[in-house]
Amino acid sequence: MCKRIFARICVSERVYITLLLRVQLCLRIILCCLFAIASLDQAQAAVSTVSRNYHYSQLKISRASTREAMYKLKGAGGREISVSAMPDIVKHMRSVMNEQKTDGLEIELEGFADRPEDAKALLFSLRNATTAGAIPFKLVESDKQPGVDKPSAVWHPPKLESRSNEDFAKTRQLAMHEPINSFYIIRKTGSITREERAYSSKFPYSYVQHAVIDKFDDKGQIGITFRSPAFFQFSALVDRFVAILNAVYLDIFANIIGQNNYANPRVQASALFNTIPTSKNHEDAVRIAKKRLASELGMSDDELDNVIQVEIENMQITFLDWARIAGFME
Amino acid sequence: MSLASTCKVALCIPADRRELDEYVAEPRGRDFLSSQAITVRQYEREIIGPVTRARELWQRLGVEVYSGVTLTTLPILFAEPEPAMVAIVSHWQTGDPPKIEFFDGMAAIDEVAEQIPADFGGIIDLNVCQSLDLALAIRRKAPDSHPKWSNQPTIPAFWFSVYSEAFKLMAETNASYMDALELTIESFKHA
Repeated sequence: MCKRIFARICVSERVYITLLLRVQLCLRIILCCLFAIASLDQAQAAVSTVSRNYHYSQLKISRASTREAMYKLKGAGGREISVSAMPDIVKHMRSVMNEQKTDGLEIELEGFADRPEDAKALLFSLRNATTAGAIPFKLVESDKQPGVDKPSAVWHPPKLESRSNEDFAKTRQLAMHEPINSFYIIRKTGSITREERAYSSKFPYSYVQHAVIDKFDDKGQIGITFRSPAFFQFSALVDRFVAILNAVYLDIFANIIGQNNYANPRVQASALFNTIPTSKNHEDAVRIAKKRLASELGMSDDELDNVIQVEIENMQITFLDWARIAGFME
Repeated sequence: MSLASTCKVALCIPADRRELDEYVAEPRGRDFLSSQAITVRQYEREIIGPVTRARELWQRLGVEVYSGVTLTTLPILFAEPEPAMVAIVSHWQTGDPPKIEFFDGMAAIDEVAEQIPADFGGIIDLNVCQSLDLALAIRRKAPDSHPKWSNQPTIPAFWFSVYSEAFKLMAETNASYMDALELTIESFKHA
């Protein structure tokens, strides 16, 4: 008898414990959901306010002559100086930034309207020089200031507009055939650009792929919407959880790009030169080419990287100034 | 046709085994092999191998490749329609005056610049060591041109790889040479 009563107690206790565990599990899930929803809102709020204001000094680079390739540089409220060598330009850029304690330079080009290739070569060189000297810069629309030549359409800064991810494919298609400013549209709509790729190694590709930069202006404001992959959206609940995960990724992602984001003049400067969206194929091909090159030249990967670094540093696309730069020209 | 077909490559140094044999048999004052103290075997591995493979790809992409280029045949590369880019693969001989190697012998830099049309406005990619003086001479002759130069010894095989990837990009995206080059260089830096 005692044995049977004991067995029944045990069974009912087991049922009770099981029940209790299930209730506890449900409560935990509900709490998790509530917590997650609250976190998501917080994360979204945090993300929507990710912004950083960069301060720029203004600098105008005028092209004095097509053949002599002399430049005149003038900072806002500063004196005008004439230079003929790239190191002098870089030196002046640095001194303007230091004097005004700014993060970068807004460079306005004058006299290049009918010579976009020269402008490009100058900026190519400037970028090389300023990357080494860590001077961020971006270009400004010169027609905002009276008495200044309008630059060629090629050099217009991005229009401030928001595009949805759905427009991306179309925009990208169009941008292939459009001048360089279209690249910003591609970037704004969230293509995997070079800078993003750098981060994508830290994050699952799909999350980065679905990041949509939907606000962008040159005051440093950046807003990002993270879209969960479509196949995750089969139920609101799962979607919500995925969104939370995304938000966590985004939070980290946004923090990183907060240090080096689209408003960062250094990133903008590099964007000026990239009209081509990078492709995974291209990067893979380069990786394979490097492996083959290392074996052909009998070098280790590190040795080859050093050699490539030197080759690239020594390469210049001449603009006559580069000759002067190196002090090789009288 | 992609924009890659607006590019041309001039190989002024031996680009295959036959040319190399001819070079060894009859140097005609050419300097590359002797000054670089490079063996035939090394040359085959570091120049002929990479250029043979690259050349096949370049031609498939529509790039015109000229081997055995001499000083007198150089102007052919700049003939109308104007190419967007001409790459000159050669060797620089220090001296007074410094000289550039062609398949039929060495030529002074002013002689080389003289072969370039004064109104040429494209890129001249100098895959030549220490090519600043040549770049300057070219700019004097053709002020609208954009020579790409290096002030150090260069490694031709590296630039062959860069050209290959840049030409591929041009073919795939219809990008200009300068854009493709920029992106390819970045990829080589970071890949």
